[in-house]
Amino acid sequence: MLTAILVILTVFCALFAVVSTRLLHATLWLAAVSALVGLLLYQLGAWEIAVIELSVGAGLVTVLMVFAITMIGDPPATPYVSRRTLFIFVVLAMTMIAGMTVNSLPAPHDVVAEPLAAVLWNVRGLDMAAQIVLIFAGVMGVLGLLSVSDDIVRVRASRVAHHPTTTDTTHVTAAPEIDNSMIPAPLDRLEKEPV
Amino acid sequence: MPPVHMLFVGAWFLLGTGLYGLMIARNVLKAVIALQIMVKAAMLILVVAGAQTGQLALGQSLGITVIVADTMAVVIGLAMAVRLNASVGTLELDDIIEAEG
Repeated sequence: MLTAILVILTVFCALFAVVSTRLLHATLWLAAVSALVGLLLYQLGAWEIAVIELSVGAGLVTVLMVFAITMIGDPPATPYVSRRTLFIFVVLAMTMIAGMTVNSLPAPHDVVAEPLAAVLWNVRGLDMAAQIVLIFAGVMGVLGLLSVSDDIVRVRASRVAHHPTTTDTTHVTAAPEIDNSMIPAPLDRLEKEPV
Repeated sequence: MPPVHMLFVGAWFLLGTGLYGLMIARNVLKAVIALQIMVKAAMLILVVAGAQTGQLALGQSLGITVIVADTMAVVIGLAMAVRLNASVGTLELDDIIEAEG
C-alpha cells in the first residue's frame, strides 16, 4: 500500500515538474521526485543507492540548478501549451509497455548477500574508472559555469570604460556586483562586445 | 500486485512523464529537468531488475553509474545553458534557433 502511494506521488511530482511554468518551481518538484525515488529504493532494500540518490539527486543537483537559475535570472513564466493528444499517446504507450513487460519479470530470487563495494571494485572496476573521467568532466563543467560570472563582469567593465561620460569611471576597476541588468539583451552577443 | 511489480509499472510511467516533458519542452533547463526524470526512471528499473533477479548489489552498482553519469550530464548541461544565455540572451529553444539562423 505504501509503495503504491509513493509510486503515485512520484509520478504526480514528475508531472508537476514537467508542466510547471516557472523554472524554480520545476526544480523543486524535481527535488521531490528525487526524494521519493530515494524512498522507493530504500523500500526495495537498496539502502546505499537510496542515500546517494537523496544526497546527489535531491541535494547537489537541486543546489546546482537553483544556482544556475540565479545566475540566469528566473525568466518570466512561459505558458504551458497542453498537448493532449501527445499526452494520451504517451500514457497509452507506457501502459502497453508496462503491461507487456511486467508479466515477463522473472520469479523473485533470494537476494544474494554480496557487499556492494566488492561488486563495485571487482566486477565493475572499468566502469569506476570511466566514472572518474566523468567526474573530471563535471568539474570542468562547474568551472565553466563559474567563469561566466567573470565574463559578465569583464563585459560590463568594458562597456563602462567605453562610455566614461555616462558612468563614473571608478566603477570600472571596482568590479561591480552581478545583477540581472548585466546580462546582455537578447541577440546582443558577447563576441561583438569589445573586451 | 506485488510491490516490485508496482515499482516496475511506476518506473515506466515515470519514464513516460519524462518523455512527454522532453517533447513539450521549449526551454533548455526544462529539457534538462525532463531528462533527469527519465534517467531516474531508468535507474529505478535497473535496481528493480537487480532485486528481482537476486543480484541487488549489481543493480545498485549500475544505478550508481547512472547517477554519476546523470549528474555530470546535468552539470555540463547547466554550464552550456548559462553560456548560451550569456551569448544569445535567452533559453527559449525557438528564440535560440531563430537567432542562430
